[in-house]
Amino acid sequence: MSAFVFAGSSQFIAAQLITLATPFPFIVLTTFIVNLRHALYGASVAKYLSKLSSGWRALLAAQLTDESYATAIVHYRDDTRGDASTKHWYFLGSNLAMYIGWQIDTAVGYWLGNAFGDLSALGFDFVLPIVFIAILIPQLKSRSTLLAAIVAGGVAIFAIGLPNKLGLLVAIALGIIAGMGAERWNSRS
Amino acid sequence: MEFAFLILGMAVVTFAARYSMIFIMGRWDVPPIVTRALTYVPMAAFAALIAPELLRFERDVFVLPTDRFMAGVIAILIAAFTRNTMLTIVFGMGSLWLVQAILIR
Repeated sequence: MSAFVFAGSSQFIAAQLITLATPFPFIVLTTFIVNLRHALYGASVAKYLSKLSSGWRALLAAQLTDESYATAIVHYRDDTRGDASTKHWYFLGSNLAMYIGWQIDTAVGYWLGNAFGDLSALGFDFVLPIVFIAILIPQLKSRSTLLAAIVAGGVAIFAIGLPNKLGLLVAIALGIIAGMGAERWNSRS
Repeated sequence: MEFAFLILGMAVVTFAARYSMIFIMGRWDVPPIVTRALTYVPMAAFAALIAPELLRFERDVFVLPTDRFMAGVIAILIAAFTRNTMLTIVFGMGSLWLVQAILIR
C-alpha cells in the first residue's frame, strides 16, 4: 500500500477501516476526502509550476505530501535561494526523499512492530509537529500571517474531532479568511 | 484480487486530489483575490496540523498531553528566536523526552 498510495493519514485510516470490514468503495471515498487538503496545496504551488511541462507537473503532484509541500513552498517563496527556473528539482528532491524514506520506514516499522510490539510510547511521532513548528514559525513575518496561523490553529483544536480530517479543511479555510481580513483592515488604516 | 482494486482506487483518488488544482490553475487566469488567499495556505495548514497535537477538544473535554504541550511550547520559542530548523527539531524532541522523564519519575 505504501508503494502505490503514499498518503500517510489515509493509509492509517484505510488500515483501520479494513479491519472493520468496511465496503471498499467507502474506503476509497474516505481516502479522497482525507486528501482534499492536498488540492489546496496544489493550488498554492500551481503558479510556480506554470512553466513546467504537464509531465513534470503530474510527477510533482503524484507525490505531494504535507512534508514535501512544506519544504517546497518555503523554497519557492524565498527569492534569495537560487534560480526560480531550477526550483522544481528541489521540489522533486523533497518528494523523492519523502517517498524513499516512507518505503524504508514502512518496512522497518513492520519489522520492529513484529519484533518489539508497540513503540508509540517513545513519542517519535512527535517529530512531525516539531518539524512543522520549525518550518511554520519563521514564515510568520506579518500580522496577517500570524493571525491566519492563530485562527487556523485555534479552530483546529476544536474541529479536530470532525470525521475524515474535515476539521483540518475548516481550520485552514477560516485561517485564510482571517489572514485576508487582517490584510484588508491593515491597508485601510 | 479485490484488495488490488482497493489499492488502485485509493491511488487514483489520492492523485486526483493532488493534481486537480495544479491542472486547473495551469489553464485558467486566476483572479488576484484567489492568489492572495492561497498565500495563506501554508501558514493556516501547518498551524492546523500542529495545534491539535498539543491541545485538543474532543467529546466535550479538553485533551492536554502535558509532555507534548510543554515540548511544543519550547519548540515554538526556540523557532521564534533562532529561526533554525535543526536546533528546533533537536531541542524540541530533547525537551519532550526530558519532560517525559521528569513526569514519570
